[in-house]
Amino acid sequence: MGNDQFQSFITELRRGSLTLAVLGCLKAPHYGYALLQTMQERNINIEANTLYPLLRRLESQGLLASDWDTSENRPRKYYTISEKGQMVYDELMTEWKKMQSSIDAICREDG
Amino acid sequence: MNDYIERYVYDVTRRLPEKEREEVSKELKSNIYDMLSDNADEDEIKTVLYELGSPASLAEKYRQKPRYLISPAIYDVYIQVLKWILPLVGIIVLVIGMVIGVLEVINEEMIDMASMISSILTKGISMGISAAFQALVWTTFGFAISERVNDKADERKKQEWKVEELPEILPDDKGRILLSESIIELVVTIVFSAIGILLCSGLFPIPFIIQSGETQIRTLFNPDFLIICIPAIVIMVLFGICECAAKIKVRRWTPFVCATVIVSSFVNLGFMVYLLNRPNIFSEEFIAFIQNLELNSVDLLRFMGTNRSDAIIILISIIIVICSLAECGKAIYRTVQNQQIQS
Repeated sequence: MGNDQFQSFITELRRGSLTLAVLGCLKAPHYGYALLQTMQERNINIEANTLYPLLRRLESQGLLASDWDTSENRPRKYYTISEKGQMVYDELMTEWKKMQSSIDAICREDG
Repeated sequence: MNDYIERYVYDVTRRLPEKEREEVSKELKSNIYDMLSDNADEDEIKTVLYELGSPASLAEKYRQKPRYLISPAIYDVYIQVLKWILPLVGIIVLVIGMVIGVLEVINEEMIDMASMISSILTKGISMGISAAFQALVWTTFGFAISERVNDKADERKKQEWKVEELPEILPDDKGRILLSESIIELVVTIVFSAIGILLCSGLFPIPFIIQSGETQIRTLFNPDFLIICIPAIVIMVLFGICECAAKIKVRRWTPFVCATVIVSSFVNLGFMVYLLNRPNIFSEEFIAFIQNLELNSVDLLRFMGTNRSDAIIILISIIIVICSLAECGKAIYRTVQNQQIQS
C-alpha cells in the first residue's frame, strides 16, 4: 500500500477526533500556538496549518468563542468553548465512547 | 526579514474572501510570531513558514469548502463584474428591443398609441431580460473556466514553493488595475464586437427596414461598406482582447500594459476614421429616401443625405481622435504614477 494512501486513511480517521480534542482542550482559554503545544504535549499529532484553520472554522460554526487580548505587547486571540460547543462536545463524547466499545468488541471477536 | 512573514501572510489572505482577510491576517501573524523565539533570525522564520506549508494550501484549508463554482477567493470580483455587466447589457438591449418594437409597428402601419406602446414594451423587456440572462450565464461560465485554469497553477504551487518567491505586497494604490474593471472591459469589447459583426453580416435580427408610403428601404448602409467593416471589427477586437489580457495578467500600469493600450487605441482610431471617411457609407436607397423626405421631417436625416454630411463625418472623426488620445493620455499618466510608486 502506497504511503500516500496510508496517510489518507489516517487523516480520515483523525479528522473527526481532532474536533473533539480541540473542544476538550478549550475548556481553558488558549491562543493558537499555546493550544498547539498543549495538544502536542498530550501526544495529539496535529500540525499548525491544520489547527489554525480548524479553530477559525469551529468559531464560525459557533462552537468556540474568541477574544483578542491586547494587554500584552503583541495581541493574541484567545479561544474558549462556547455553550453550543459544550453541547456538541457532550454529544460527540457519548458517540465516541459508544463507537469505541463497539469497535473494541468487534476487534476482540476477530482476535 | 519580517518582510517574509508579511509577504507570506499576504499571499495566504489574498486567496480568501475580502471580508475575512483582515481577521485571518491578524491572527495568522500573531500565531507565526508566537512560533518564533524572541530573537528569531531569518533561518528560523523560514523554518516556521515551511512548517506552515505553501500559502496556496494553507489558504485552501482556511477556505474549507473545497469546491464552489465560483470560489470565495474571486467571489467579490465576480459580484462586482455582474453588478456592471447585467444592467449595462440589459439596458442597452432593452433600448435596441424598443427600437425594433417601433420599427415593427411602423412596418405594420398600425400606428395607434396602444399597439405602439405594447410593441415597444414587449420587445424591449423580453429582449432585455433574455440578454441579461445570457450575460449572467456567460460571465459565470467565464469565471468558472478561468478558476479551473488557475487551480491547476495553484496545484503546482502547493507542492513546491520557496519563501524567497513569495509575492511582494501590492499596496492599494493608483498603479493597480482592478481585475473587475479589466473583465468588464473584456466582456463589453467582445459583446459589442459580436453585435457589430452580426449586424454587418446581416445575421442579426434587426431589419433596417423603413417603410414610408410607397418607398421601402431595406438597407440603411451600403453593402460594400458593411463587408469591409467585418474584418476591421475582427482586427480591432483582437487588439482589444490582447489589451485586456495584458491588464488581467499584469494588473498594474506597467510600460508593457501602457503600450498595449496605446497600440490598441491607435488601431481602433485608424480603422474607425478610415471607415468613416469612405465614400458611400449609406445605401443609395436610403439617401434617395432622405432626399425625398418632406421638409418638415427630421433635419438630421436630411442633413446626412446631402453633401454636407462631410461636416458630420469630420466632427465624429475628431471626437474619435480626442477620445483615443484621452485614453492614451490616461494610460501614460497612470503608468508614470505606477513607476513613481515602485521606485
